[in-house]
Amino acid sequence: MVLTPRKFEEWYKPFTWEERVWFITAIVIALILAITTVGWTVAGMRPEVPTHAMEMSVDEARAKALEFSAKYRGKVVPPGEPVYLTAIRFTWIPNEITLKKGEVYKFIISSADALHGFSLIGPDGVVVNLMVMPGMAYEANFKFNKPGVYEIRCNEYCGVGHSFMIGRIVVVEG
Amino acid sequence: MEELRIKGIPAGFRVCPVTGLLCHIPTQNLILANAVMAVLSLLIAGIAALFVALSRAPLFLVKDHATYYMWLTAHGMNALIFWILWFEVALLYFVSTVLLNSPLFSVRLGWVAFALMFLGWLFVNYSIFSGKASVLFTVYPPLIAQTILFYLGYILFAVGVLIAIALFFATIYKARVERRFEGSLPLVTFGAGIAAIIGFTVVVHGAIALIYNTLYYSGYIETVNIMFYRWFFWGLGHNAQYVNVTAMVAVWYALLALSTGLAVARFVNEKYAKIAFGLYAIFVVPGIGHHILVDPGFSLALKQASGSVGSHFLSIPSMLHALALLGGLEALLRASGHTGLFGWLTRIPWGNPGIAGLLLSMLLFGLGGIVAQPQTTLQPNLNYHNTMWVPGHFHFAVVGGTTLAFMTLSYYVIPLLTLRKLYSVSLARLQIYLSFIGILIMALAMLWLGWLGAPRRSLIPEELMRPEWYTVAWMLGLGAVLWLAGGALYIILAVLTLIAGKKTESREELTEGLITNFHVIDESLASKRGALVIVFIILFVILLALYFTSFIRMSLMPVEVW
Repeated sequence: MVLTPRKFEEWYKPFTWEERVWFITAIVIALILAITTVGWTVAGMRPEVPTHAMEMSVDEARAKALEFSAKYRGKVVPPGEPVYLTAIRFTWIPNEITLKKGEVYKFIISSADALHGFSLIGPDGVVVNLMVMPGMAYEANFKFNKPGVYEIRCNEYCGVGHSFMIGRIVVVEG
Repeated sequence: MEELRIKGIPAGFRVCPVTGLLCHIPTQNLILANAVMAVLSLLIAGIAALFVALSRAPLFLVKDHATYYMWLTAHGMNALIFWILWFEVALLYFVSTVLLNSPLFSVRLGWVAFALMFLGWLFVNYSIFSGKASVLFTVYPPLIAQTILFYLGYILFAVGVLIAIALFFATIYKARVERRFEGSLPLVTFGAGIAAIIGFTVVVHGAIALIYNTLYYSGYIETVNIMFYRWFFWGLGHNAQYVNVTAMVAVWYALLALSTGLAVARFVNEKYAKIAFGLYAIFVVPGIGHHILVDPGFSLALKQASGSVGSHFLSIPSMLHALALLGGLEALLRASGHTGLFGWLTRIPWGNPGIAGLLLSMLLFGLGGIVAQPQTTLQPNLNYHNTMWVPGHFHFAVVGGTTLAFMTLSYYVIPLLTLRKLYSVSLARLQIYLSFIGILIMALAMLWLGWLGAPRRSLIPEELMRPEWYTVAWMLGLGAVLWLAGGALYIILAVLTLIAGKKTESREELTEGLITNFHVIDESLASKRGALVIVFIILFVILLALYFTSFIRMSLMPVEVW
């Protein structure tokens, strides 16, 4: 019984047909989910979670982003140029990036201190989230197909000023 | 057991007037002490929840950011770690002693575990409320608390839980050797045993993560490997939730049995349920990886295998339990003459607190599991990771599922342990429905906010809110207030029962309004086909619809990522 001990032969009973059908269905559901996601990766469909990452010290992450920020402040970043974006408590370097619509940009995203979250929130329900780690740089390719203002918010708790970390990506017509 | 009866009641035991089970009085005191600490932690978690929720809702109750994250840490630690684990320790002791007519292996060691857990609880809460540990329950390095007490408390509590788990197994072993019970373990004890096995893997992962982090805090390690920490932390953080899940499912079976006066027992396929319990233990460790799906540094193969596929397979046992429980109830109702594909549904005694609590908890947990599937899948996780979708998922599962189930069970167990009548059955019923509605509204609001990209773990001041979040945030606040009103009612009812419940040893009085009697007229009428249709619609149709909607939404975004 459920609450009291029972002899083996009293509870070890065959499944009913409903139980058998559901056992198979449950496995089928899990398989459908698994095949869909693995198939998506194997077929090379997009979006896909960026796979490339490299080690990058916190000093280098800060220096590269500051350099990038100084070079392209108020200017459109030319396609092909890597975009350095570094999270530092409690801001993004650079805080605003201007990109061209329809071009591929390689983002190199890292942190100069704690764990941060990169959350891109844009028009038409765009939400893309990546983790930002000190010591590691995520290499992610982005292509913006619609002009407008996209926010970058930190969505991993990094300290008291965490929710003030809001940067902007402005996408302009090419 | 018969033998014991003939010999009379052994010293230190009493016979339960309702169940006829032997209850060891020193063990019972230990169980009650652990349960009281569980409720106290729930109370702290609830107060913290009020501040957290009403600051995320556009009331902005807490405006100071440091204070907000202090409350958020207090909420996470007390709700997710203390309330759940105290209750589970009480449950482990209960199912290994009372259900097996046995005393605890060592009550003294039980008090040692209690003392360690209490010290840990005290250290952690002191660190949090002195404002020195606003690091949330994940304590991701290089973020550090300002006091070693926080780390020490975390570890002490874990050691206490580990001793409790060892005591549980030692108790079963001793009861078996001393022939205190005949045959196989009761289903509920078996399920709790699986929870204890998972709990063991949790403590091992937790020890690695927390000791590593403590060494980093103390300066023995200069640079911290965050990938390493995150992997092992979530071996603690998320697998601990599978201790909850497994214990909750064991509680579901107990509720089904208790609320039907054990009439349901012969309609529940125990083999099916035990296989499903075993599957949790098999899939839980391979499924850790869903927290690192968008982390830099892990390979795509590992993310797919552990994060996506492992996690999807971990949902199989929960799906099996859904049919075993609902089908068991259906079979009982049909055998009692309430037939028709769905005719039996209208005959479910929705006023019985145990049955209402069970079915509502199952529904909420099911929703939590369904919304977890897209979130635990590699690509859609790009949309959901660290948004409010995630707390939406786990408030459905842990609050709606586990907490509601544990609350409901305590309406049955408190009267048996204290021999006091539940203060008011209608208030218990009101609490269950109020809490259900509250958490449903709140968790749906969280999911919606997550869909709109609102970050979790953030106090967002009014000027930084995106306009589309505003109304939904009100909905979150409304749901939270309703849920917390239900929670307050629960604690009031538990305390009133403890101090003002009518003292009685009469079976009828102790179970009045809690048990619905069924008159089985023909066992051959029993069938589970209605339940099969229901679980098929919810878990096949709705789950897959949401899953593919997530893929479609993701691929329609005007931003390409790879």
